[in-house]
Amino acid sequence: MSSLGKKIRKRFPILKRKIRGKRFVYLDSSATTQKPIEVIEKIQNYYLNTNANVHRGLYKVAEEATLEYEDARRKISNWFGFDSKNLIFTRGTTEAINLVSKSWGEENISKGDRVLVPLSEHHSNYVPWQMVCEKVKASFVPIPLCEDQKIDTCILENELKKGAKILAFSAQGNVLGKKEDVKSICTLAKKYKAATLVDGAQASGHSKMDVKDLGCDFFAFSGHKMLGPMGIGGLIVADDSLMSLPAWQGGGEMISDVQLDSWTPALPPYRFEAGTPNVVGAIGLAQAVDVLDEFIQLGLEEHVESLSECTHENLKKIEGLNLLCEKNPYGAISFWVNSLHPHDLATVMDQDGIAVRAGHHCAKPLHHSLGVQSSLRASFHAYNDFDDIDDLVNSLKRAFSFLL
Amino acid sequence: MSLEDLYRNVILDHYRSARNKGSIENPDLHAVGKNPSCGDELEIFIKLNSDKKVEDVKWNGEGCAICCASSSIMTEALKKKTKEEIFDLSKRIKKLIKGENLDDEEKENLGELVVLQGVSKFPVRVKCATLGWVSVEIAFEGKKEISTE
Repeated sequence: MSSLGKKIRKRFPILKRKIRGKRFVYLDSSATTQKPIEVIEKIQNYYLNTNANVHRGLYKVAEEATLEYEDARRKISNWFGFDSKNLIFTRGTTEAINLVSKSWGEENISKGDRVLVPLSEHHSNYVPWQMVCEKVKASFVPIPLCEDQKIDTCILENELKKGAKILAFSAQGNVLGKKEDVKSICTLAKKYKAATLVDGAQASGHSKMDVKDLGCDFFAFSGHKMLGPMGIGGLIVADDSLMSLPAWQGGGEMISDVQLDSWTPALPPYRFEAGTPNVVGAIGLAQAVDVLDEFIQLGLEEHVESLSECTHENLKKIEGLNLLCEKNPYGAISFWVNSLHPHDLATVMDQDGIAVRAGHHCAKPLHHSLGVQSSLRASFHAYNDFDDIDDLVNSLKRAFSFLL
Repeated sequence: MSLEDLYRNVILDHYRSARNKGSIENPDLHAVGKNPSCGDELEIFIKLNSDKKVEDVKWNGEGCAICCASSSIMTEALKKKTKEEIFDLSKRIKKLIKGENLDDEEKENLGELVVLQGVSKFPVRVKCATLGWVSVEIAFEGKKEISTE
C-alpha cells in the first residue's frame, strides 16, 4: 500500500538513523514531532544569514529579521483564523496556559469562584488552575469523563449552571486520544457565561484548527507538536478578551512608555512578549505550518486515523494487554500489561529501535481515575506507516516472550 | 550482558519472588523513596539490634522490575551490617550501577550485587536501580522521604 508515511518519511532526516542497527521507529509524536528538512534548513538559514534582534536595530539585517518574524506571526495567526494582533508567542502550550491563569486568572477569579477542568487534562492544563485557585481561594472543580471517555457534558452543564469563571479543556487528549466537540462545549460554556480556554497542543498537530469558528476565548498550542521547533508556541486570544488582558511579565518590548516611577503597557500582542523573543522559533514554525498544510492536503488526518485504528485492532488481539481507550482513539494509543511495568517494556522495545512513551504522560489524575499507575503510549504522525505498527507488535511479542 | 540476559538471569527472579518484601511494625528506621517520572515508590523498614546493626530489613512498594529486583537483592546484603558498612556498600553499588570504575578494594565482597552492573548499560534505568539504596541512606539519616527529581 502506498501511503503518506512512505511518501514523506525521507523528508525527516532523523528517521534515517539506525538504532542499535535497527530501523528507527518513532512512535512518540504526541510528546514531540520530528522535524522535516524544510524546517531544519529554515532555522539554519536564519542563523547563517538573518540573525539580529527584532524591533530594535535600524540596519538591514535587523530589518529583515523583524520582517521575517512578523511575517511568521501573520502566517501562524492566519492559520488559526485570526489576525496578527491576536497571536501572542510563548514557549509553548504550558506557558500560554500559565499566561492566562496568571494574567487573566488573577484579575478575574476571586474567592469562592469556580474553575472547571476535566480530570483527563495534561498537567499543563491542570496545575496552573490549581495554583491560581489556591492563591485566590477559588474552587478547582475536576469534571469526570462519561462512558465514551469524553467530557461528561451532563455533569459539565450542571457544574456550569452552578456558576463558573472559566472552563479549561483540551480539544484532543494526549492519553486516550479522544477528540472533543470543542465548538458545542464552548457554546455551552458561553450560555452560562463561563470563559473558555482550549488546550490545542495535540489537536493542532494533525489538523487545521479554525479557532475563530470554535468560539473559545483562549487557544493554546505548541510549535514542536506541529513539525516546528521546540521553545515556540502561542496563545490565540479572541478580540473580546484581548484588550482587557493585563501584562504578566515586565521588561523590554512590552511597554509603550517608562518613566522614573511608572510604566505604560504596549498594545497586544507585544504587551505579553517581554524580552527578546524566540525569533528563529517563530520563523521555523511558520515554515512548519506550510509543511503541515501540505500533509493535511495529502490526507494526514485520514492517515493518522487509519494508523490509530490498525494499532488498536492489533493490540486488542494480544492477550494480557489492556487498552486505556476502549474504542476509536485518534493519534495516540495507550495501554498497559498485567504484571509488567511500562518502563520494563519500553526498555525492551528500545532495543528494537522502537520509541514509545512509558509513564503517566503528565496525566496523573486521569491514570488514577482509570485505576492504572502508568501506561505505554504509541502515537503517530505523517511519517509513520503500517510497517511501524508491525514492528511495534513484533517487539511487544518478543518482550512478552522473556518478561512474562 | 545483554538486556535479555540481565532480565532473565537476575531481575526476573527477584522481581517475581522478591526477598524481604513486606513491612516491620515499629521499625527503628523508616523512609519512602520516589521516582516521580516513573511512578516507582517504595518504603524501607529497618530494625536495629543492640549493636546498632541491621537486625531485619523489609521493603514494600510498586515499581518496575529493575527497581523491585534491585531492592530485593539489596535487602539480602544489609543484614548484620552497621550504618558505616551500609553507606560504604551503597557508595560502591551506586558507582557500579552508574558504570563507574571500581578499584580492587571496592570490588571486594560484593557477591550477588555484582549483577547490578548490567544496569549501567541502560542509563535511563539507573535511577530505578538506585532508588532502594538511596532510600536506605535517607532512612539512616532520619529523613522521611526522598524524591529523585
